[in-house]
Amino acid sequence: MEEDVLTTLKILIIGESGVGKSSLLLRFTEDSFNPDQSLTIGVDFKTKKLSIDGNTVRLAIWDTAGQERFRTLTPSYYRDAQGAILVYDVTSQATFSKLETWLSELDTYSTKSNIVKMVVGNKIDKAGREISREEGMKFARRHATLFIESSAKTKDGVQCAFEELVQKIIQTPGLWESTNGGKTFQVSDGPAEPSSCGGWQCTI
Amino acid sequence: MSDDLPSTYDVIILGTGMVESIVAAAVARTGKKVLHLDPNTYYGQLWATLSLDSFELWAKTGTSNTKTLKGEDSFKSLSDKALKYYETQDERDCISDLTFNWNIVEDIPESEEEPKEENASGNEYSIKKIRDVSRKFNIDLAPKLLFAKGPMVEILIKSQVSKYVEFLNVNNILIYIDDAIERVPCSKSDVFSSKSVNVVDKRLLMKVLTSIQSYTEESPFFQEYENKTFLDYLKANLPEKFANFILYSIAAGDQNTPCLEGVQKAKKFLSCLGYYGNSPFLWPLYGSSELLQGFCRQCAVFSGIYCLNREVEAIAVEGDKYYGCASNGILLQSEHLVVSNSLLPQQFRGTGPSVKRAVLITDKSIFPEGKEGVSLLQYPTDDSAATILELSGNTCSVPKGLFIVQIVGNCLEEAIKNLFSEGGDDSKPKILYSLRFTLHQMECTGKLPENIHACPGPDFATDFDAEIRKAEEIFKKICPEEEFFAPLPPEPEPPSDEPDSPEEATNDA
Ligand SMILES: Nc1nc2c(ncn2[C@@H]2O[C@H](COP(=O)(O)OP(=O)(O)O)[C@@H](O)[C@H]2O)c(=O)[nH]1
Ligand SMILES: [Mg+2]
Repeated sequence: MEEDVLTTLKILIIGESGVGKSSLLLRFTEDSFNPDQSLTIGVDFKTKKLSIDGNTVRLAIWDTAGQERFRTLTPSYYRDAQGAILVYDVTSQATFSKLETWLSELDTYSTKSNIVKMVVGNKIDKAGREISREEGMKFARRHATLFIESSAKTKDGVQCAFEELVQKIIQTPGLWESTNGGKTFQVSDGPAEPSSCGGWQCTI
Repeated sequence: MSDDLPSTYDVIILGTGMVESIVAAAVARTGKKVLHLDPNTYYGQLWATLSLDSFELWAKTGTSNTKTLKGEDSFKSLSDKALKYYETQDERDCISDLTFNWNIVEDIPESEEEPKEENASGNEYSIKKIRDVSRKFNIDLAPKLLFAKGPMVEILIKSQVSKYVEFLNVNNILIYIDDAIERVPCSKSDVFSSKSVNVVDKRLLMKVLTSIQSYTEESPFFQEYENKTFLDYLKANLPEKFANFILYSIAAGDQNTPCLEGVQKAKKFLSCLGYYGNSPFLWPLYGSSELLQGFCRQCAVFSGIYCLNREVEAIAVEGDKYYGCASNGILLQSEHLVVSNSLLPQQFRGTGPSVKRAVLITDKSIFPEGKEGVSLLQYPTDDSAATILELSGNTCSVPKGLFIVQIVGNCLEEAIKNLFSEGGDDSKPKILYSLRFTLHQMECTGKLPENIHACPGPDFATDFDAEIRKAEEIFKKICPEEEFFAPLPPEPEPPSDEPDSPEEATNDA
């Protein structure tokens, strides 16, 4: 890991299908927007560096990969996330009503009890608003989450949403420091030979 | 459940077991349209990893097969075609003789919770207190290890599913011998530094391990043992204690293991040392089912559709070919069906071998002088061996201070009696909770239509080698032209950021 990066944070984006989760992710990480839904399929996670108050962090932002459609996200999706963005569509009451379920899903599966949550009302560019800004804010206050309204289409609020979330995470003590003493690892194309004389191939 | 499921697919996969999930990812990567269903509300079937609450619920529903057959006529209205319907069965038939019990008090009244009892082992726990942290448990129904250079690790890397899973080393390789638990020296440095092995024995041990490590098919070294057991060879070259170390812990064999088979298994173990620390085995943080969840996620990234808590009541066959699945009053159609053996219709399902299993929650490690983490203990008896896996708090499978013990083997009662206490004996770990059951393997016995592919449930091996082989075999039948987990084309470069911002966007962490 580069020296200037403080840490890598895992951020989740959850909410009903079609509210614009993948679009927000792509707008933020690649500054792109596609009105065709099918093009947001195939997003796994994206990483992006972000500097806040003089600290640089790397964000790994995880898409649902469409597994939210029948509420079948894997528990492993939620593991070790420091931040979660809960998205609804301001033009759809149904997606707003489902936020309660998403919050309880998050409480069930997130492994960090102090995970930072942000409620995002998306698609404010679109005609036919059903949820007012006040209603959204009230919900967020009641559940002690951050709140913002956005449009992945016009970029409104997108950068801000991620910045506020990350700022809050960094300010939360004990949330992002490594917990397992660095003893865990991932498997990768390592050396073809054992790296230490723990093995039998090397001659002593 | 809303039925906006599309009705046709290339492949429908029924069951989210290990083999099924690997196949799901593999075929989705080739561009095939996949629907992956599971009758349970959780991933993994008999491979699942469950919180304590879910685990207790699983135990309580136990062996009760809730399935009632509806009769073929109830499906006739689904299609005009002349289809024959075979009703699926319940995976619960794989479990029998299930018992469980708590060995601690229900609750401790506030006033009694005084610190003076602290040293009385087990006394500070109550059922309520442990259930309160149910989510801190990740209990495996089928725990298995990964060889550091085995096929599962290879596929994880090739598929890039590796980015979803973190691992720990299995850092204590142990054996129960002469009424005590001993650490097995595995690597050269282990043998050198071992204080319990004298210089003469060290030299003998070195010699045997080195000749096993350098064994090849052409190697004449073991030829004289061709018709003998591995133990015959080991005993001829080593004191009995070390012969047992190698036979049980390194080769995972028994008295009857033929010499060449033992040599090959021991060699595999030895050749896995040194890649990820001084242990041949890896254990996934949060439990075995992280692996299959990773494969399912990859299938979803490649547009696979996931639906849990969704039953397929019957499999429809047209002539000698599979046609589709009857589910929730609709017919879902696909070219291929991949299905767990355990769910197969009775015409095609038979019961195979079985093994005894136990899961314990304890208050102390079986080997407190070892490193914190994952311990693997072989417990040989006169006629068979039990394999014991112990997980401590840093595996994220159990709250700190407690231990999960997984035991496989028909002699497990003897192992439990000698290694653990039900109370009273403070020198041994106390059993706070225990669950025992017999796990039966289901087999495909009838002749299935050739576009149905049946997947085995958990076997009794410690590793995933057989599962990977089976998944590849099924993949080849569905995609004969394709490479199993062919590398993906690199992600296109994202549009470059404004030069003054310190931002980047890539897809691999
Ligand atoms: N007008 C408008 N459309 C949006 C916005 N965000 C997403 N969409 C569209 O909504 C549809 C669903 O978006 P997607 O990102 O796939 O939603 P997801 O299912 O939550 O990932 C797509 O057609 C997007 O183009 C937005 O802010 N404004
Ligand atoms: Mg999406």
